[in-house]
Parts: sequence; C-alpha cells; structure tokens
Amino acid sequence: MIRRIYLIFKKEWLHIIRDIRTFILVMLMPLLLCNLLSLVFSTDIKDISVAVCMPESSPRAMEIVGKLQNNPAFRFRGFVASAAEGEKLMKSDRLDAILIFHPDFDRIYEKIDNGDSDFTPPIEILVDASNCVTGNAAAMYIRSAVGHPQSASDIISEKMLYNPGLLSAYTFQPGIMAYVCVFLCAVLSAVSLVREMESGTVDALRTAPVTRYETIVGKLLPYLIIGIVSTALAMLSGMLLHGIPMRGSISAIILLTMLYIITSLLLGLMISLFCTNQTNAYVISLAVVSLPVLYFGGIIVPVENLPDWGRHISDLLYVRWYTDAIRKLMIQGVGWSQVLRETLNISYTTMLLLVSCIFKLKTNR
Amino acid sequence: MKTLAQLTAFVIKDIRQALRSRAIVAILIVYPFFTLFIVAHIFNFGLDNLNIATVDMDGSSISRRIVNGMENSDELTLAAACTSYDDAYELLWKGTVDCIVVIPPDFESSVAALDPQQIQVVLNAVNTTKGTLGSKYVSGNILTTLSHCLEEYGVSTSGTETISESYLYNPSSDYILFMVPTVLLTIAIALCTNLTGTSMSNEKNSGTLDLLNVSPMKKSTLVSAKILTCYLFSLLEMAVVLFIGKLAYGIPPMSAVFPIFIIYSLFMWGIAAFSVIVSNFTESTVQILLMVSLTTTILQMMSGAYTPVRSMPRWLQAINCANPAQYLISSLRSVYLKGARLSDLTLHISVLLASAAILWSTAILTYKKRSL
Repeated sequence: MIRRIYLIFKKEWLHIIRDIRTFILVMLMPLLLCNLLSLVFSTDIKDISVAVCMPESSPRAMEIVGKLQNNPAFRFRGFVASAAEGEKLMKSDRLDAILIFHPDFDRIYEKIDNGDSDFTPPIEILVDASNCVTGNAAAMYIRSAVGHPQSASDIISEKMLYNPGLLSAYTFQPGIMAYVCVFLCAVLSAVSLVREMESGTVDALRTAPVTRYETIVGKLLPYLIIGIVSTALAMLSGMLLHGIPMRGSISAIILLTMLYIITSLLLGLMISLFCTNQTNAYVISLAVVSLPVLYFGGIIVPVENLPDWGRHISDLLYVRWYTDAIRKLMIQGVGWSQVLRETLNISYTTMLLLVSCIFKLKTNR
Repeated sequence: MKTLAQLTAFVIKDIRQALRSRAIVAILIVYPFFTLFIVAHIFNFGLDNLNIATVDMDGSSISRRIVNGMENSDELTLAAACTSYDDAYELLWKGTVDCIVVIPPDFESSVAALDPQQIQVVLNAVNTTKGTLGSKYVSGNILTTLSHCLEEYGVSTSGTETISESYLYNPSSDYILFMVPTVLLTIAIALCTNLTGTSMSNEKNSGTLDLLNVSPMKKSTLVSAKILTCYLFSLLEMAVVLFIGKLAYGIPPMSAVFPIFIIYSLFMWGIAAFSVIVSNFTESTVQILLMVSLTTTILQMMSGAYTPVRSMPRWLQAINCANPAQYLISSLRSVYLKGARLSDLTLHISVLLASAAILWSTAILTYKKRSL
C-alpha cells in the first residue's frame, strides 16, 4: 500500500515540478505576500498631514507650530490663508487636519494666564474624519502634541510586553502566513484533483490497480510538502526580515502547523468533490475559503472587534483558532498547555472534514 | 463599422458564456450583498474593550478614584483586582486580561507632595492595535482622573479645553460610510479575477482561444471585447451597490453619481486590462488565476481600503504612487464623504486615466495570436 501511495505521489510530484512556472509562483507567493503585507497592514498613525491657519502671527502660536514641525508623527504642509482653503485641500485628500489659531490668540491666552475661566478656545482643530482609522487618532495626536505641557511619561510608565517596539508585523505576519497557507493548500489541492477529472485522466486512475483512498492520499502528499515548505519559508523570512520571534515551544508550532495544513488539504479535497472544472473549483475555493478567512479569521480585523454575530462565525473557522494559537506560540511564547483549546477546536474541523470526505467518497460513483 | 459589429458580437458571446456559468452568476448576485451587508459591518479598528487587572498597592482614596475612573470608561473593563503583580501577570499570560495597572504604595502621599510616583501600565502588545490604542486610552484616563485630583490640591493643570475639535465629513466615525468605496473596489477586483481571468483560462483550456486567434478579428478588437465584457458587468454591479447603498444607508448623494461613475469606469477599464495582460503571460488555469489573485490582492491591500496608506513605510508609499487602486479609494472617499467634485480630483482622475490607457494598450500589444 505504501508503495502504491508512493507511486501516485511520484506521479503528482512530476506534474508539479514540470510546470515550473506555477511551482515557482507557488513557492514565491507566501514569501511575497507575508513580507509585503505585514508591512502594509499597519494601523500605526504616521505622517499626519497638517496645515496651519494663523490669521495673526504671534510668537506663542509659532512655538506651537514649531512643536508640530519637529514631531515625527506629523508632516507639516505649510500655512493656509483660511479654513476654506484648507478644506479644499482636504477634499482632494492632501490634508488630514488643519490647526486654526483664533485671531485673538494672544489676548485669549493672557486671559487664561490671569485665571479667567471664561474664554473661547484659542485653538481649533479641523480633522478629516472621513477615514475612520486615522480621523480620531489624528485629533488625539495633535491634542497631545499641542495641548499637554506636562508629558504623561512623568506620571505613567508604560511597558509593552512581548512586542516592545509595537511592530505591527508581529500581529499581522502570523495571520497572513495562516491565510496564504490555507489559500495555497486548499486551492491547489482542489484544482489538482479537479484537473484529472477535466482532462479525463481520472479514468486512467480509476482503472489503475490502486484504491481510491490511496490515490487521494498520494495526490495530496505533494501539497502537504509544498504547504510545509512554504510555511517554513514564510516563518523564516519573517524572523530574518522583521525580527519576528519564535519564543514558544517549537514542537507545538510544528505539530499545530502540520494539523492546520492537513485540515486545509481536506478542505481542498471537499471542494474538489463538488466541482467539475478547474475554474469552478478555483472560484468556489476563493468564495468559500479566501473571503471568510480573510474577513472573519482575525487576519485583518482582530476577532474582538467583530460584531457578535461575526464572532460566532469566526468561532467556527479553524483558521481563526490557528491564528490565535500561532500568535500566542510565536510572539507570547506560551507552551502546549496554553493552546489546548485552540488545538481541540482545529481538530474538530479536521475530524468533521475527514468524516464528510469519506462519506461523500463512499456515495460518489 | 465592421470592427464595431465584431466587438458587439464578441461581447454578446462573452456575456452569454458568463451567464451560463453558475458560479459566476452566483458571484454576481451574492457579492454586492455580501460585501455591503457583511464586510462593511465588520471593519472596525477601534478599541471596543480592554480588560484590565489592577494592582492597587496604595489602597488610598486617590488610587480608588483612578480605579473607578477606569471602571466608568466605555472602552475599559476592570476584569480583576489583584494583590500582587505576579498574580496579575499570570492572568495576562493566560489571556484573561490585556493590561495591568500597578499603583505604587504611598501614591497618595506622593501626589499630596506634588511629586507623584509613577503608575506602571503593562500591556500585552501581541495585538499591536490593542497595544497602541490601549496605552492611549489607559494613560489618558489615568491622567484625567489625576488632573482632577491635582486641582483639588490647588494645582491648576492648564486644561485641555484650550483646544476645540471639529470632525469633518464623517463626524460619527460611521464605518459603513467609510467602507462603501472599499466595497466597490473589492467587487471590481473580484470581477476581474472571476470574469476576465476565468474566461481567458476557459478559452485556453477548451481550445477556443486558438479558434479566435485564426478568426478575422484584430487582436485589439479581441482584447477590447474581453475588457468591455468585464466593464459592463462591473457597471451593473456598481449600479446595484449604489442602489442598495441608497436604500439601506441613504448614500451617496445624487450629485455624486456622475463622478463615481467616471472614477469607477476608469479604474475598472484599467484593472480588466491588467488581468488580460496577466493572462497573456501565463499558460495554465492555475497560473492565470493565482497570478491575477496574487497581484490584485496586493493592489487591494496597498490601496488604503483597509488600513491607512500613510502607515506604510516610506519606500512602499513611493511605490504605491503607481497603484491605481489607491487613487480609486482616495477619490471615491472624497466624493462619497466630502462631497468633492471632479475638479477637486484632477490628480486622481488623470492618474486613473493614464493607467487605464497604458494598461489597455499594453494588453493589446502583449496579446499574441501566435502560440508560443
């Protein structure tokens, strides 16, 4: 039996290797996506474009402008004559915020210094809130850059555990790795199984002296190897390029990833049992795998931020549990005992897929 | 005239073919609803809930006020009150809490002496967004409570009321408004993979492409027809999105329809041409589809549709200047949310126009009737 599986494996491997362009693409994809997207997916607020509207120049106001100019979080875009002019720039998306000084800026400040509590605010910030991610943050940053004379660091000491530099790659790289892995394993195995049907070679396989299960195992094995190698490449490149740590138990990472890849392959098998041609298989795996995983798997949006119904959906996705577990393992550095819940949840899906694949294969003729 | 007839005939053939594929029809119908009603609702990069463990070693009235201040905040939840840092750390390690606030002993007396000791805030930064925003919220909250306390000791803290803020365009931070342009982009990209990509690969697989190559049609007609089919479907989808958006959320304003149409058309033409280019350089189904999804995923993710463009490293931002999707998102948001007119968006329009023209002509030039 081992030998028959090996022969099917060898045949499939030759198919893959001889289509060298696809092979290169498949191997490069995780590297490219993981490393590029973990730079792209970042919600750090940088380079907030600010312009200043100062009807009457005053040294005190200039001091505040100087603070903005020297702050790396901002990109100072010069002065505008009026709020309307600034808004026009905002409309063409060249400005995030306008800082408007009151014409009586100095006089109002004198009042404040004299302890008078009845004054119009001397500084007004207009923020472009059309971008929900940057809008509020821009206001908060300007406020803390302009407003607080005493810095918070005197009173509060902050410590970021596990990710002291607050690098977003730490959060996103494991997620994107999981996404690319499920994408490759499920799509490739589904398409390769369907290809035999489309080109008619499945008849040859049916008459060959191998059982159906041996054929399937043999055909999936090369994709298991591709999955393992590409995930390993993605992890290694993450470690080298972004300095992503590998703090937890290595054996747990390896075993969990294996389980994850096998589950993804079973998913691909499941999809292939419902399709008759390659493009259909591809489109269906995109719709069934790629979209839900990307949106509900905790890869772009953190699971905690989903609405309640979204969280229920994401609880059903094994990808979400893998992402959670691998983040804990790699970044936080926990051991086996801390990821038991996640492992169990992944294995439920594995068992479910396995049973339904076998059932479907039994009834299929 | 003859070209036009050929073009029409070919487009009709392609449309019929697309409509006969059940997967494509399902995507055409389901996708706008899926994206508008599901995807638009799940995007939220704010901080809803941060679980805090407090270690109050002082036990004074000020420290209790600080704890109460955090309890009253919408975003912060007091999940545990621990007696030692180690206990709290264990909770954080297990993931029960995300943040530990340690108030040192004799904190009240140090505040009374106007030289407050440091409060320690420890965050689990495995999730970067949570780390960054959490630290802002926690320290902001503590500082506000503290400045109230200090005022009672007679220290004037130059208040934050010297600054007034106005949020323009989307003051309630409504993510739906923010996400509609993203929905249009994802639909555009899904269509170009699923329509142009699959129709090219189907023609190659079934051998009908060879037939087309020997037909009396010019290659420019052939390529343009493929693009035009995808474009027509995308217009249909755009109309559906605008219509549902109008019914369900009351957006966009009628005056915005024409600019949206122009912007979306230019982008769609370019991106459809792009998937033809990709299929010109690839052979098998898997190659075409993988390559189209890979490249369009990258374009989409870098467009600012999900995360801000300015959060990317500078060198990526420089590369991103050539990404038409970025201009699509930016200009659609301007039109949708800020009421910008076409005249405000000359830069965006000209880049989109240029990219559509370049991609279209490249698609025609790189198409080869001769097989390799």
